[in-house]
Amino acid sequence: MDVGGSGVDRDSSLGFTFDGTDYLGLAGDTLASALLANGVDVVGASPILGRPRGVVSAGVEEAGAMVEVGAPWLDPIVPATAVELVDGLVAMGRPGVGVLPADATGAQAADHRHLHVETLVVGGGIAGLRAAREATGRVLVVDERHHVGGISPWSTEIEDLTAELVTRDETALITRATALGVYDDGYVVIYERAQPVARVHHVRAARVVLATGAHERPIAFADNDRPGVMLASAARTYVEWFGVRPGNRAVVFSNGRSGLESAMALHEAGVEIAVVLDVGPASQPHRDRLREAGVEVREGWAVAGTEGESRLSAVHVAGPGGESETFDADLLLVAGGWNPAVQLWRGINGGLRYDDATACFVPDGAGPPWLEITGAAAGEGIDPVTPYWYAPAEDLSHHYVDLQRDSTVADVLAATDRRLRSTEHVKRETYIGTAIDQGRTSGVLTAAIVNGAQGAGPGAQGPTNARPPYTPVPFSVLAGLDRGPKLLDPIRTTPIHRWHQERDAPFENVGQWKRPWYFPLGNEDLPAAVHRECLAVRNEVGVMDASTLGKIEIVGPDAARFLDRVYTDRMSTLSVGSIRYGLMLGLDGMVFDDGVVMRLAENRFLATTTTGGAARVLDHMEEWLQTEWPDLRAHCTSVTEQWSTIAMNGPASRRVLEALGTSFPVDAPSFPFMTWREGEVAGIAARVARVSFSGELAYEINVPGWYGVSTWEALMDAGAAHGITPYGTESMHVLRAEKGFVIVGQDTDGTVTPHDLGMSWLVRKDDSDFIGKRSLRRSDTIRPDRKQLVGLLPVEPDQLLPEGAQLVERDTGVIPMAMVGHVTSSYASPILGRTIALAMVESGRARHGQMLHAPLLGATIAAEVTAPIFYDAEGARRDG
Amino acid sequence: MADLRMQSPVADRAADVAKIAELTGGAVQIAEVAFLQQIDVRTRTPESFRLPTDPNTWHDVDGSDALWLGPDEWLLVADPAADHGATAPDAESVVDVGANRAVLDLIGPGVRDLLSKGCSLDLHAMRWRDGACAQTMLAKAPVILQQREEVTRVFVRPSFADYLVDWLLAACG
Repeated sequence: MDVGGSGVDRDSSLGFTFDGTDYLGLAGDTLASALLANGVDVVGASPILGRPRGVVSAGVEEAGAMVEVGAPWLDPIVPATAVELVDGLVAMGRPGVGVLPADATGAQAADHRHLHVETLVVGGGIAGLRAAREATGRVLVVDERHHVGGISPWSTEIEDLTAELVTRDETALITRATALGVYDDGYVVIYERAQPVARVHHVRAARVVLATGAHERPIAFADNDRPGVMLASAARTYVEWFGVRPGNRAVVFSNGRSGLESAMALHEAGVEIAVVLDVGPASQPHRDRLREAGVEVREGWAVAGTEGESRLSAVHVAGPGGESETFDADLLLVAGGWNPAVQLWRGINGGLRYDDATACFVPDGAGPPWLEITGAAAGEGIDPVTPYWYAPAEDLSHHYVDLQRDSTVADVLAATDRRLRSTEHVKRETYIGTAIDQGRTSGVLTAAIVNGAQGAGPGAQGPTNARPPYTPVPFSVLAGLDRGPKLLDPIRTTPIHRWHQERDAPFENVGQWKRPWYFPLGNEDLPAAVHRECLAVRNEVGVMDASTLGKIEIVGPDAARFLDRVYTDRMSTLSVGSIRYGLMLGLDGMVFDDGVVMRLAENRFLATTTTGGAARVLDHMEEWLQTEWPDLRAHCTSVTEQWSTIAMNGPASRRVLEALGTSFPVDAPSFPFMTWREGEVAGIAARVARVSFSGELAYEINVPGWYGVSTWEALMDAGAAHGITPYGTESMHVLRAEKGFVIVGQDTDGTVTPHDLGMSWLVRKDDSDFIGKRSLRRSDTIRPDRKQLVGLLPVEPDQLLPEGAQLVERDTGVIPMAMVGHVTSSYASPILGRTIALAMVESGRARHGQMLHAPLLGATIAAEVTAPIFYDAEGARRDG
Repeated sequence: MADLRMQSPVADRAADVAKIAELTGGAVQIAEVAFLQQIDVRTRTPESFRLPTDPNTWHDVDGSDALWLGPDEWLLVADPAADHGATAPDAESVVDVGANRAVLDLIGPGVRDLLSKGCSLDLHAMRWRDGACAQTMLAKAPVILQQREEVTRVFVRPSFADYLVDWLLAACG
């Protein structure tokens, strides 16, 4: 063809493969334009009925030509009109639904960038480029196509504006870049289809200008989905920009001026126009021009249906007086009016109103102050049309509304017949608008049919909402670098982590932390290693990396008062040098976290938290300080990682500490239980606390983080003579369970009070207030039949109750049975030579001595209820 | 007992950190600054300690960098050998956080671009200059950023140091 084609480079030919056949296209082509140029009119099949489908549009509003791209990148489903042709492109027609590859190794890689601009313009058509020219400061213009210019890229104004903008220092113009969504305060996420690595731009703009243009919409008539039926403006784009004639002989069906303009452009490009059917408002000069050029224009005539094997071969038309006629044609151009592309505007709650003259929904009112909408997207310059939604017929079951869902006018009317009134409900009944185009061409039409069926005005209801992303984006692109075992989520490690790794310790995930689970020797499995580790702690000495424990320093003249309000027991009476265990409750009176509090000085405390609770507890404290008690002069500072914490437990621990060398005495009278000492350990400044989570004599050694690994190694050396044994979280759990020490989050689940745990002694009874106090007096929290913490001893000492097992009084064998509690912790205890468990059981403390049963698949375990302590109940071991 | 050695959080990733210069063709060079003194200060009278009161700024106070972290919170940073770092002002709360954060110094023409891959702050040269600091996120790690003349200093919790080095390597790649 000898006219048009300014968007392609005729000297640069690109090879591509479609459905297994090799073709040639041109640089600048889309896959759709290249397929049309090669005479491929059937691109794929429809998703449900398998009807042949071809190219309908020239942009992202495409509903017909769906393809999968297999190389050089992967895209399971994309319209052919949105695929830029590159050399070596491999694509296959797809029936509207994509299939993810089983192997994700080829998933699109992407780089993310944060970008700040004074003005972001979304859309590089005439309106967008004009807005960019007027903008100052840093300006970014993005356009989803691989060229600027919107739907009329050939205009000379586009050329001039682009030439001007590219010379400006602080203006950037990015093509192949789609604004996926517009969010609060000018945050816009943009997907740039760069290859081989795509880009996501996180743009924060002081001002966002939406210049997203408008999409032409079709009119429904019988068999309107046949390849060869195309939007009139799209055909014009193929002719003028891509230099492709999408057919040889066309019927044009238009309800406004722009269809007549498209007809003229195609006629001038050498496409024979069989007839122009004009149901639009009078546009005499346009009609006259066509007629002067020898084109027949029939006013008031409309398309009734189409014919063809797969591609269109004839068009049936109907006259205003009921006449009918058939025209041979391989192209049927439809111009049904224009829909402003208001999806992004609506996404940020911009309003819409129906405009009668143009029969479309246009922005109404102001959006957020940083947002503007301009050009065709704002309804500017949209052609007046005579609304013409679908051709009247007896049978409407081949009048396609949403080509990607094979949904018809009949389907919509069936839904309204069933009294579905809202377009949102009709969408869910018919699936219209649920495909990847989110109803770009079908939404307004559906709304019009629904409104019409209800006898309401044409703007009574608008189309359903489109949500981000504006066009599909691969998950791998959104993930960017945040993929794979290292970067998906941060892995937090302690200063001693490498030592654990070198000892081949398997790790347990605790929040983002990796904690050593156990330290196998040789071929030991978990039970064997835990058995050995636990006995080492009970009989000699064991050492655990407890650096992950949360640590918060609370400092200030009101620190003690503050802690009294945060913990259930009193911290203000704690003497400097001493330590107290504390429970923290939520406002609901339920246990929220626990830990020990050390008084470091009159106005200085150190509180420890659970590993997983550290951030939550700090937030909790800050929230109360900042919002409820701003008068309190107390400050919280996280020092979790300031200190490496090594917990040494076991009867030989004192001798190991002595061998390591301390600047202070460590014998029991000088350094009693629940006190701490500061001084030198192995020659460096340390804080040592006599706290024990195993019940054994224990020293918790805290050193600045950068001494963590060397202190650990020194401790291993100093303890070698005593058989010092590193142990992990599993042994720690067994040892504490033997003593009945709870783990918040394992034995508690957010519905457990201190009284339920048998820790009433930790809850002060005086008049002073603490968080959660009032809730402890609610009728529900003082019920005597609440679940309470108990111990369980299985009758068969080698039977292990599964954690989570439900407990019943009598195994009736008939499901359901009345459940009275559940197992929260369960282990084989090496020192006791039997299994033990902790459980929460209704009225548990009144049941000591009673038998309960855990009915399991294939077996029932009977266990005796006991007090929740199994070893050294008198606490004789804590001083060694 | 032999003297215990100090180990910085990034010590065993030194080779990886050095590789970043190579990966970026010299556009970004990263060096760990180990064992800096760091003191967290809380006060309601910053003027009396000459602490910066403009949000997200820092300046020198007696040889220490004083970083504004919040309306009543500052971070004082000094060289390991300096004696001012240890003598923090007699404020309402003074807490030693020297080992609580690892420190990386980034320099080179590619630093801002690299950081913009994971940091949502406006790091444009006109907006982010010498004297700026901020608590923010770099990828998924909470960090403090501080611009010291040509150097962008990143403070990160030691437990996140491995992750951050891995992320920097990936972001340079």
